[in-house]
Amino acid sequence: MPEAPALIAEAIRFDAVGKTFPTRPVPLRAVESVSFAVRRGEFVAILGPSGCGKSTLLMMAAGLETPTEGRLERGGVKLHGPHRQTGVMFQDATLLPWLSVLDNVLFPATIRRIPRAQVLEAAMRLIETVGLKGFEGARPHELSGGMRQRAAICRALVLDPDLILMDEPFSALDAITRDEMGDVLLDLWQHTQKSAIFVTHSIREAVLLADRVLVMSRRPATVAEELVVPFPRPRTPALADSAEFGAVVAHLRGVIAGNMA
Amino acid sequence: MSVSALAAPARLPWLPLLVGAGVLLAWDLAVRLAQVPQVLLPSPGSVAASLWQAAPSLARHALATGGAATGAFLVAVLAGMVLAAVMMLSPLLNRLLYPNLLLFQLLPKVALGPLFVVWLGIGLPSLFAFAVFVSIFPVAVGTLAGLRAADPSQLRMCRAAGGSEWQAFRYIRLPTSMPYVFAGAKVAATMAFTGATVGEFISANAGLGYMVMQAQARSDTPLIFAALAVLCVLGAALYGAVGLAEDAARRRWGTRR
Repeated sequence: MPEAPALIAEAIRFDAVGKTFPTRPVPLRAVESVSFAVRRGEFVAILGPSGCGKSTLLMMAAGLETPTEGRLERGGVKLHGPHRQTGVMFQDATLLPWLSVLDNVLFPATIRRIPRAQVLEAAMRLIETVGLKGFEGARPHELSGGMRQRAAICRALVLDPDLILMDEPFSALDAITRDEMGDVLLDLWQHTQKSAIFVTHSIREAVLLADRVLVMSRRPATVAEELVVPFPRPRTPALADSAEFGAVVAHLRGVIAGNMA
Repeated sequence: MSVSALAAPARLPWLPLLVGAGVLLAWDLAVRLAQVPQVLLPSPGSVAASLWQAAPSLARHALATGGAATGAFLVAVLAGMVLAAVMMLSPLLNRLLYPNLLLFQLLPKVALGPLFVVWLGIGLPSLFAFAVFVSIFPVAVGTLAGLRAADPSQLRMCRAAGGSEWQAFRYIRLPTSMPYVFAGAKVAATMAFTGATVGEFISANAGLGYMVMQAQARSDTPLIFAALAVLCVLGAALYGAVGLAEDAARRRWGTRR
């Protein structure tokens, strides 16, 4: 690696990481020798078809699964289990139905035994940013699917992590809400210097949000193609209507089709 | 749902009351017309008279039975929850205990009553232990089912946030189990009265069960009915109290912790 201060510059690094699940009768090879790094402040989208093993990749980054081969480094140190400075968003909002929106957002602080008063202000600010002001006391069942994912975004960000992992966080939403959530995330992102890995099967989402797109092969997942998204930041949702955007999306669609053939 | 049922002014269940009144009337008529002997089936009127006459001693015995059953119920709920928690947190203890618990669940536990007399003698200790014994199983089995019913994606979220097994238990499994705990507690409430009454049949010198046996020996059937009526009211009261506690827990749970 020629970049000298790799230790400081990289939020997370996959080094020939592989994962095999000991299923029977045949072990399941989910991830095959994946190598890539996410720089500080970089937003990387992982694009691939359903069931290709990209979620497994993310679960390893979250410390919820252990690689069976290779090495996974977080901030230059081998990753052991869930990391304090990592926020995670799942496919479902996974809010706790017996807690209010605010208490759900504060849940990571509860788990890390951080006094409520210390993070309350940050929580309220996030809630306002995503447009949930006034719903702090509401229960999850009173919210729409999009509002629930907004609360989940706040929960992932409440302890001010330097890395956010998102596992198809909008895939359970309808198309309109989905676009809306992309805008919320984009808006939120312009103001932070956080790193992110965003797993998706939506090419549009990947190109709109990410600095770099990794296209995964079919299972076992490995990086088939890498594309640096050529659009400067700050970006707006209107970008998706431009011809250049359409060209990048078309290119990626071709790459994926070629890969799957 | 049940919250609004509680908030709304209580409406009397007219139709069931009507059926009850009809049954009482039919009973009264049947006894009069067929001239059934009082010893076999007393008329509702004579049961009411017996209730009135024996009120002081009924109250005394009701206090004994109600106290024993309520106490046994509380001990059974606490111990049952602890038992379930221990089985949830320790796979080894779960493997050791759970099959036996299920086996006991299948046994006609009431039949074991005389053993408690053999071990603990006649009186409150054996009666109380027996009532706890018969009512602990629904709580333990119900709570364990509730603790295991926790949503895997919520548990994963908790783990990703750095949560330990204990934190997952406290913040996710325990709240998830609450409806199951209350379902078990409702069964336990009736079982505690069954246990206390049967215990009094075989091993007591006080309580409504004891009173029933005494009345039977004197062929005082109206008094048997009177004691049973009081028993029904007591059982329904404990059951109702559990229901109120459930409603209160459901309203409070989560708005603010």
